[in-house]
Amino acid sequence: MRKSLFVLAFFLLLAGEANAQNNNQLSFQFSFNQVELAYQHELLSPKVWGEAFVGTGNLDINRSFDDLVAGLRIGYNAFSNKKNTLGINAGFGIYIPKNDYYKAATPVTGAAIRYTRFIGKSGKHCMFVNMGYQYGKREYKQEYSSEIVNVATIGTFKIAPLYCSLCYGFRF
Amino acid sequence: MIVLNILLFVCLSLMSSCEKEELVFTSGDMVVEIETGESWLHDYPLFLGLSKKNPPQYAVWIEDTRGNYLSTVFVTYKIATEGWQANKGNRRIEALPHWCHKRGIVYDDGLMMPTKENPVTDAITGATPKVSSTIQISPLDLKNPFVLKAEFNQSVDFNNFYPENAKTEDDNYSGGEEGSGQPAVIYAVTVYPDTKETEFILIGHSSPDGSDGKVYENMEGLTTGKSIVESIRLTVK
Repeated sequence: MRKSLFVLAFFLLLAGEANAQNNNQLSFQFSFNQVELAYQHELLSPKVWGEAFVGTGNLDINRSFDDLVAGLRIGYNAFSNKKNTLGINAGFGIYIPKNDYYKAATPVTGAAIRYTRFIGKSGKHCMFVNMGYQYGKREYKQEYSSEIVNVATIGTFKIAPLYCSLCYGFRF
Repeated sequence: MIVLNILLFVCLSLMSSCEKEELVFTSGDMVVEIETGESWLHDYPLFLGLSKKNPPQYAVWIEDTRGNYLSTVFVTYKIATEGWQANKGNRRIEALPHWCHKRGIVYDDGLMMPTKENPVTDAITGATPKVSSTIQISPLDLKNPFVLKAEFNQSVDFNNFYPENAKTEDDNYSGGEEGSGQPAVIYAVTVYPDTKETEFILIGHSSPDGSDGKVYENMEGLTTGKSIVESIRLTVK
């Protein structure tokens, strides 16, 4: 299912290349807890962009990269020259843990600083670092019944607040 | 600006939605409140001198007054599923040996600690909370009096009495480099028909190397192990 989502997103993004004017970017973002595929598009002015992302994370109880994460970001490039860009971004999304023990789809919001370094003469390739803070917390109820007792407890799923991702981007 | 405002509105709406869950109690329900002690979070070494704060592993279960195991109520994920990320094949039998022996299930390798292949399914399996937590127990066919027990263990919680370099043949051997250090501590309370409010009592510690399921009452040698938990209260609604 998740693999299909990735493939679908990838080909949809590639299809957009027909209107290429270098204001679109496809990127892969890697951090300790998350792997994302993101599509960025210029909004309103050359300095403002929007980004949709989908990916997997490992923040839940089983620590496997099988959770689903998706969301939107909006960014502003505050300083830029031919090779470098420094900007800020904020976003929101949803984090859906996948495990056998609880369900806790968690809204996430955050803000980050992004430094981008363009590679090569064409300016089509870039590497960037996204560092920031995010917040997401959700309580969930767990229940168990046996012949002698019913048991219930409340657990809390919390997103790791600080993150730093290393990313590769392709502009088209 | 409009886009930013919409984004802010969506963020605030999402963050304020359905963040809270509540336990609903009825008459006769029991509430077990585990209050964390000053050693609830323990430094677990990672690499390059870095460490992370690890909460303990624990189980809560019910026995009859003759010491017969009846049912597990709660067990932490790593214990229930052999869910350690870097245990290097170490089955951590010294983690909660009293609970394992009371439960009495022997796995394919002859050990009593649950495995990845056969995790615990007859209890709530949960992440260890980093703060105080509450368990609701609603008796169905539970004859009073009975005993509630809880066993807690912190990994690599070494001290002078339970050192990392103890040899396997030593009395204070506790699993070696990735082992427990100080043995698990055991709390218990007996619940009578007229019990309304009471507190679990520290009754001893488990076998340091996990080789048996006995309760050792001599607490000499335990330091931070005794302050993993501040208190465990039981209230009958």
